Amino acid sequence: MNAAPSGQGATTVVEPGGPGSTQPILAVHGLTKSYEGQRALDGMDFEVRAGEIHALLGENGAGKSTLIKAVSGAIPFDAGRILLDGREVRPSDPADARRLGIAVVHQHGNLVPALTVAENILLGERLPRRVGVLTDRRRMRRVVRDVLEQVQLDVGPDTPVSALKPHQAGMVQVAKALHTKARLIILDEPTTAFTPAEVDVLFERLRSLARQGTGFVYVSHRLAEVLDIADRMTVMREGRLVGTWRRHELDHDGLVAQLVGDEELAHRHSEDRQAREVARGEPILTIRGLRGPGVDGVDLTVHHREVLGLASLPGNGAEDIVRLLFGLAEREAGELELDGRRIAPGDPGAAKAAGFALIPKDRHAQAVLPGRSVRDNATIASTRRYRSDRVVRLMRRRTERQDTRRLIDDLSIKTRGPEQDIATLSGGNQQKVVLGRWLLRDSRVFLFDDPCAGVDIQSKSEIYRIISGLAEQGAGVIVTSTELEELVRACHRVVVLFEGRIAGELVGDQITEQSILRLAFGPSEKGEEQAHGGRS
Amino acid sequence: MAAAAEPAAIDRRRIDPAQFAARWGTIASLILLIVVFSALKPDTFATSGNFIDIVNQVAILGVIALGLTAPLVMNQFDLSITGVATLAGYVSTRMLAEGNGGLIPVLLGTLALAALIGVANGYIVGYLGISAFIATLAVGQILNGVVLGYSKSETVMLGIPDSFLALGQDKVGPIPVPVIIFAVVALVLWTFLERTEYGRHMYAIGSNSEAARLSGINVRRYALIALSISAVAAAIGGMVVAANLGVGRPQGVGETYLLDGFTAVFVGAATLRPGVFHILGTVVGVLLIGVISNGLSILGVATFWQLIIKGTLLIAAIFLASLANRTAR
Repeated sequence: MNAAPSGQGATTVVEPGGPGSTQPILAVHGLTKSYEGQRALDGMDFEVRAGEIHALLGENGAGKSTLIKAVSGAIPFDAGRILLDGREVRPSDPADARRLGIAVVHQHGNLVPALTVAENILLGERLPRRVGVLTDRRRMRRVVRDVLEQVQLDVGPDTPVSALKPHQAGMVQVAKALHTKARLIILDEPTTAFTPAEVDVLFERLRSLARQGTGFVYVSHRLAEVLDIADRMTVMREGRLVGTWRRHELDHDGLVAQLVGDEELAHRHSEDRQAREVARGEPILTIRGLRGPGVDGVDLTVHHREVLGLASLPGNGAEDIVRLLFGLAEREAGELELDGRRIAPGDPGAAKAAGFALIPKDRHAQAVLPGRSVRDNATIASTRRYRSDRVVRLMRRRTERQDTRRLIDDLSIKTRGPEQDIATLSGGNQQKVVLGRWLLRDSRVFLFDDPCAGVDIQSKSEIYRIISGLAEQGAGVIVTSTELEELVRACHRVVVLFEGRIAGELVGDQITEQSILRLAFGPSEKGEEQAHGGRS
Repeated sequence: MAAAAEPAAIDRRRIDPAQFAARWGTIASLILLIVVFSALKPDTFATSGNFIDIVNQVAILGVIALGLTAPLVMNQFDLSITGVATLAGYVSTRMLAEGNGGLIPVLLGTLALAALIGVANGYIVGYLGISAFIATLAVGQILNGVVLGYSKSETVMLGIPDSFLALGQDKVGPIPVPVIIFAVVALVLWTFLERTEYGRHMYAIGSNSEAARLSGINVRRYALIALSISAVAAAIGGMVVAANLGVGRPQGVGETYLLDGFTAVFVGAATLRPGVFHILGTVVGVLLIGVISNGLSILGVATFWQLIIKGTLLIAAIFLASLANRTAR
């Protein structure tokens, strides 16, 4: 392995002998795209041939979605070339890309649920007419039946899309793409909501469509599926190509090794890392047999003075545990014990009363109260502490203002004062106010759901400092993050989940991005026992 | 939209003309109108008696508009106030006329009935998840129907005690009772919304309902509270109308105030705190409507002009408020 972090990517491009391979449908050369100085794509190379199913893999932030967006015209790119059938193209928007023959099938679908299958497939084009104004429904149905036959989907053209199962809706999207004469269809995590049987059906149809010459790009985190369906696999890391392999050239472990990269990277962030060795205190939160949406039997203990990380690929359980703890999803089974007391938080109010604090992922949608003052934002979760009595409930604003000032000093929040509108603060300072909201009450367990999303670097390290400070003062701290680097920096212990169960636990120096990812991608068939060992 | 928040962090103390117009535009036009009308009709318009009259003329509208402000803080419309106001005026006069209770029990009973209707509204909105606009429209229709049926379309004319009529016709010193009621309702609601935990939670819900929920606030329950407030205010308004006219009409009472009420509240949301519904703003909006109606009638301008001017005013005010939000965020 020679994928040095600064290198050009250890390109092990294998000359493929894919079915009927002559010229690639899609060829991407040196594609580069930066967001605010951060390179999301850094000279990416990629090609897809006619008739192949080509898997595109990489951890979060590796650049997959940026690549897809650039190819499908959703975003402009900075440098590089995109060749379609050997001709250079630069799709200006998604509609332009569709005209060129590139279609994207998104995980959440771009169908209109209220319209029928036929209307969705024909959406955006001129419908067949009668007498100039009336739509010719008979001709519409005939056209659509042909396409549906092509994807072997057994639903009527007049079925409303809202009545379809997820895999049928997925196939309708594929049918729509075929109807617009797409040569290249990009499937972005298409199987997220599928059952295994539905996945099989989808794969069978994709194979038969590929045999007829359509090229597919298949983006997924599910390695087992990828190893099943893909003719070739391309792995990306940090916006670059790591390599492209034919299916049988890599097994599960080999693929994971390519995905997680070099062990050298492991200590890249060691200097920012918090002290690893903590004298772990008494248990503060004990979770037994937790079960609910996305969580399938989890036992977990959070101790005083430790920062516990929860890691998983999207939809594999880390965020779902947080949702269950804060009463945002319905607990199906399991016991929770906080400070030795049994608790059953059924809604956020009850979770708050039990001692939980949630710093949600999406600051704008879930945390900030725009148009309200810093003071209002800071005290909103603890208004009970500031009210005069239980009946009239006048707010003691002087006390509020004093406490907010103290918070502003303690967290070095940059604001003109407690009365400034929070919307005028920078993202990092807004996040500190949101955090402060829970410091003003005696929260026992802090749940940080991706606490540093969209936060500037300086605020980031300040937020880490606050997190470790909270743990030192005896609170329980749980952190989830889509950026594994954050977990490596912030956590004393990381529990990794796969398909809603604990896949393994890492402590101290074992915590690296690689070790987390290795567990998060799930056990390979032969590693099954090892995974079960890690669960005990 | 993380990026959008950053540039706004730059200094806001520099006076931005759009911001300034949005904050002070309605108050400036209120003062300007008073000055203009005073200059044109110094003997009739600019007298202390006429100023009291102006407030008296809009006092009922004011009470109803103040009530509407509470659900609007949470971005919820209450259209059932038409039915509630009519119901309250009719039921209270009929009870009193038929001798089914003294003044105080009837007043309190009517207010309790209104609160109950508000709770029903709130249950439909908060717990059944139907949009407030539609739910309260429907409840308003139902109430109008109930009153018509109950009254057999007959107006209560005789037997209404003077103690009740005093609510709409008497004066305390030089100040008419409706004006006092308006002032008290304004003060109570201002305190409630600006100074209590309830108000704080309602503004939080209006600002970002999901964030409020994740802060542990029981968002649904506040729909009950907000819609009860608007219903009680509408009932007070309806009873003062009945007292003022000396009759309990079974139809058409609330409708008069619906459009002007919303105009006043929205003009208020374009005052001082652009884009935010608040009591002080509503008071300014109500007074603006009063001054326009009164001034134009004294000038002898036809009524239809008043409607045209009020409509134009509303659009101008909303436009100014939106201007401020465009520059502030």
